[in-house]
Amino acid sequence: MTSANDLISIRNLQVSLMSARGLVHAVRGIDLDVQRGEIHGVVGESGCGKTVTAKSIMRLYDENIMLSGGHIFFEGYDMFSLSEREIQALRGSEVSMIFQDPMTALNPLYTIGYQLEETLTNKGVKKMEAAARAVKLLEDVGVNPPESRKSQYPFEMSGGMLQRVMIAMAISCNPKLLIADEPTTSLDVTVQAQILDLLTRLRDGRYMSILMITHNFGIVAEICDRVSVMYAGGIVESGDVREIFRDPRHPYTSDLIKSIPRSGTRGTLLATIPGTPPDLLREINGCAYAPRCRYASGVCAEAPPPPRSISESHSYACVRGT
Amino acid sequence: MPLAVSLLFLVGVIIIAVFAEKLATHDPNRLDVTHRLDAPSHEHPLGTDKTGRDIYSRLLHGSRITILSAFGVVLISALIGIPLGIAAGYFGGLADKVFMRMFDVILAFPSLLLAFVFVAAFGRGITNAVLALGIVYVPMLARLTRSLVLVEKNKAYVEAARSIGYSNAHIMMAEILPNCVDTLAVQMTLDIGYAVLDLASMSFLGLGVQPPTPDWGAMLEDGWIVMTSNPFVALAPGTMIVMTVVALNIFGDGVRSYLDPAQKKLPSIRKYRRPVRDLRK
Amino acid sequence: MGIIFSVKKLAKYFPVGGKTLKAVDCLTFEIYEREVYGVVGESGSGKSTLGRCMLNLVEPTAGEVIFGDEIMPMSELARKSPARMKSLRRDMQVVFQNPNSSFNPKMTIGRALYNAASFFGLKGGGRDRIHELLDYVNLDRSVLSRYSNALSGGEMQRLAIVRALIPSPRFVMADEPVSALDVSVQAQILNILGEMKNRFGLTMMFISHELTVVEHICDRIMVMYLGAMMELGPVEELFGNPLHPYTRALLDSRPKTSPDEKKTREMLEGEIPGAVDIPAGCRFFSRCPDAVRECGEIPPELYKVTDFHFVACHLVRDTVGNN
Repeated sequence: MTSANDLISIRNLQVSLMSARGLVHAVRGIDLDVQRGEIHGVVGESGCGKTVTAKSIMRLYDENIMLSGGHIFFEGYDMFSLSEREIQALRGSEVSMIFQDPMTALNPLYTIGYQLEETLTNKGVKKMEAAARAVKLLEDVGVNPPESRKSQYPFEMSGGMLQRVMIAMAISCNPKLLIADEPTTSLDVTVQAQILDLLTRLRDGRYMSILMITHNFGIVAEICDRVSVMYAGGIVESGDVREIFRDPRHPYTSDLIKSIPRSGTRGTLLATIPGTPPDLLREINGCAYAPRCRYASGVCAEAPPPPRSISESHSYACVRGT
Repeated sequence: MPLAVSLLFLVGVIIIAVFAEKLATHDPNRLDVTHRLDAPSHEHPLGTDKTGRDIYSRLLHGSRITILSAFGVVLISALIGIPLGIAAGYFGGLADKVFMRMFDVILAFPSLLLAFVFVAAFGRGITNAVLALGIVYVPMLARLTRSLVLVEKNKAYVEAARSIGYSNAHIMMAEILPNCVDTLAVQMTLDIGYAVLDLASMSFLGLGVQPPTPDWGAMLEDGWIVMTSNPFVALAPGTMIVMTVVALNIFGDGVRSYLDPAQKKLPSIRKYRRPVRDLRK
Repeated sequence: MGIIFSVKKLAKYFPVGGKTLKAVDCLTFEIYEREVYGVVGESGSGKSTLGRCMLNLVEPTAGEVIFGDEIMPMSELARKSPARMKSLRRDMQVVFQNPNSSFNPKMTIGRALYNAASFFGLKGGGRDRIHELLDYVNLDRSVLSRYSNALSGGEMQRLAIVRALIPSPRFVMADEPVSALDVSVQAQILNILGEMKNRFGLTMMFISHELTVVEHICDRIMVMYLGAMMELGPVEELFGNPLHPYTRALLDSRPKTSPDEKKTREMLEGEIPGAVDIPAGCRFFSRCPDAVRECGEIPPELYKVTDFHFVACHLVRDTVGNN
């Protein structure tokens, strides 16, 4: 089922989490493949389960989240057969992650150089070598001049610089997969462009895969090779970015793309999606999007639509034919 | 569970205070020199004190004055401290600085000591003791209020209220205050406990309730001289003081965690959880 | 076209550890009636402070803001005639960025709205007006009995719009009204904002860092950087013929709308510096790709390109000629 070119394959992943209102089925059986060297976007609105999916790969769970089914294969190995300890060894060295708010992800009491070196020595690099590598890493991510920047504390740096430092820490052990969870959401547009450019360059230079979690279709269009669109804990459409933008097949994807303002929409009403996403506390029998979908018919509410492929690189989950 | 017990206890104390006349077996102030320092008996369930007064009845009547004056202390401190704190926090500036430094000075002294000074100047008696403690408690409540207001006033809803054009008084009282009430209520509950303790200390030293009015602190003072021979005389009011204070503390804590949703515990997900390895099946 | 807002040499400084942070520095512009005036800039450009000064939520350090037919600047009015200021308030309302926190969490939505309505002295407590507005933004009346934490961001932002419209204002300021919302909800709110201008005959000021959103909804746009105006012009002109290097860089750094879009990107280096030590010359000097020596020494004036298009850049003066 998984091909050799897949770095990570997620099969029928199900994740639940406990909220004040009860057990939420946040991820409801998704399949997702990230190939070697690609930037794969996971795009969706808040509460669609994209961040929980990302955390599942790292198994970065707090006590209120649990896996309730499925598989995650990393280079063919079943991640669920690994112990917590083995997963720990994988974090940082094979898979690493960057977050939306770099300020809170760094310890305010230590210099960024110290924190960067510590991630290296933690993975068994010698102290002397770590110092040299830290400088090199900072240079690679565009923190200039690295020697003097090293001794700065997080509060002395701007948001964009901190995100670069976070990226340096994340790539310090040459991971095969970098998970980026809304890495530019808290940054300004000009800085966002810089960070996106940096990520693309790092992918090219290191042949690293990036799983880009975002709510922004612009970012998907900008840097992703393939994209999976998530809605209510499921993937509704997945495939090559160009194909999906040119020919979105799932009604949710096309509705969402149409609702984004762009040049030429001026003075017109934007397309909107009626209603709200379903309550994930409940079971969803049919298509999760059916209540809001303009094409919905009786069959949609009965059984979940099977995924169909229209090409090798484009599949979607909707009963509506081509 | 401790919350339920303490709540039950506090309700009990209030019932006792309200129905003291009905529940008491004797006149709390009636002297009976023939029954001085009696051990507990059927006639006197908790014995009698050195002038032969029934301790059980005095305890019941004493709860009334103790609870009332403790409430009085907190009420006075709230009436002065909360408005001061709100104004200081909301307006800031010079008045804020002056008030806060003044409070720092008051806080630098032990609260009881200050209350002693006050009573020494204006005369002993329960009214002055309550007034004194009430004023001494102002800085703590005012500072808490101020810090809460400082957080609230930067929230978007306050700016929204200002943009509508509401007056400062409206914003302070109708918008900000309701958002501080939870925390203040908890603090005031705890303060009642402290007030019970401090009032007892003052009565113990003869600065609060004057004889022969029954009061737990004064009763403790009566009893401690004969502690070795007749421990009940001191133990009965002492136990009541300790239990009331502890119950108020537990209750206050309970209210705090009930009001603070961040501290509310989610139901455990554990019962749904299977080991990760099992998922492969 | 009448002028509804006239801002003259407005400045707002904040003391920061012995230094002065110049959040807004000597801004002059006018907002015409019935237009949507956009203010774009990165965080730290002073756009939100400008908005607060214009509504007199903070008092400006210098300069004046004059609203409508009033002669006195608002900050003076607030001091000399609070009653007159209060009656001005009903004519200018605001919608904030974070919809859930802009309502008092301890109040039901209904109470918050009715409070505002009775404050403005609406007939019958404003019941009809509130119901009419709820219908307009397509919300069920049952929201009135709920609290803000039980409603979604989209619903709350619609309620914020309702609250702003209660006194039938002439001017509504929207400070990043869609930044905290999901894409599909953002579209709903933008539609309401765009439509209500015509329906209620409003003038709007739209503060945002998102260029696509601004382009969609605004008529004229002012680009701000470090508290000063870089470029001002009608949307078509600003987006079609951006003249200031900063405007160009902002436009270039927008993510593509489609992967097929070809783009020659001019990447801007560095980040917006703090507004504490503002250099002598052009504020954008440190990041400008085209800067020449003069830029570091003399602050550029606002040059007029066409009747409605102004640019603060020395290089533009040389190309369009000095006016």
